[in-house]
Amino acid sequence: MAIIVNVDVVLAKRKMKLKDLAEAIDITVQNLSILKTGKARAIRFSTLDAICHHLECQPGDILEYRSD
Amino acid sequence: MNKLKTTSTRLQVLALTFFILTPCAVALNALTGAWAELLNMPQGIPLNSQQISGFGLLAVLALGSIKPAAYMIAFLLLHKLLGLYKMGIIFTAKNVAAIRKIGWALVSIDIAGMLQTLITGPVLTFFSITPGHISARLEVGFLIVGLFVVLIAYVMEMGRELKEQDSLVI
Repeated sequence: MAIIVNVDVVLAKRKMKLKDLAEAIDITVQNLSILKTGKARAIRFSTLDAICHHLECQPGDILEYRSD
Repeated sequence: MNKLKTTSTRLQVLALTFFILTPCAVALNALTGAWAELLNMPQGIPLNSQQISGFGLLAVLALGSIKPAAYMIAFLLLHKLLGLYKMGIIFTAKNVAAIRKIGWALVSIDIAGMLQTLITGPVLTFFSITPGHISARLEVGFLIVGLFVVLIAYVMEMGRELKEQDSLVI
């Protein structure tokens, strides 16, 4: 897919673990892992809002469009 | 879930019983000489039982086994589906495939029945078991139910895909 999820990059910059973020935004590690690996079909605005809030970043930092 | 397992186990036993009873019924008809019942023949056609021997007997048994074989396939598939339910596998691709197969098996029962009726006349005539005759019968009961089951399987497949997609919405 042309949409790349950069959660792991932002997490690395913040020196945070996936588990910590999952706990902070009240989402399971499995679901966050699905998002991180790019297997997710869609992301809810509420989830994106929570991720951006806790990582103090913009949606553009999390999601990136790359032409195939 | 326990209720589903218990019910599935009981129904599985029932399906297996019918699976075993079907060839027994064919054998019983053959042993008692109830050839007309075995061949699902229309009434009023005289049947020369003396001619039923050798290849004629084999032909009669083969003809009489067409529809029961379709029943047996349906019972076997039902047994497999109930086995999946027993294991707690309910809304998966396997279940959908099993339900679809049962649907087509039900359709095949009526097709087998019509085919049996259609070819019985010429075959029995060939072996001089009956005077020259040919008959056809329209059987659509199982066909309608079978197609409906196939439709349900497609709807289930769509539901399963939606559920799968929903699980990937984070």
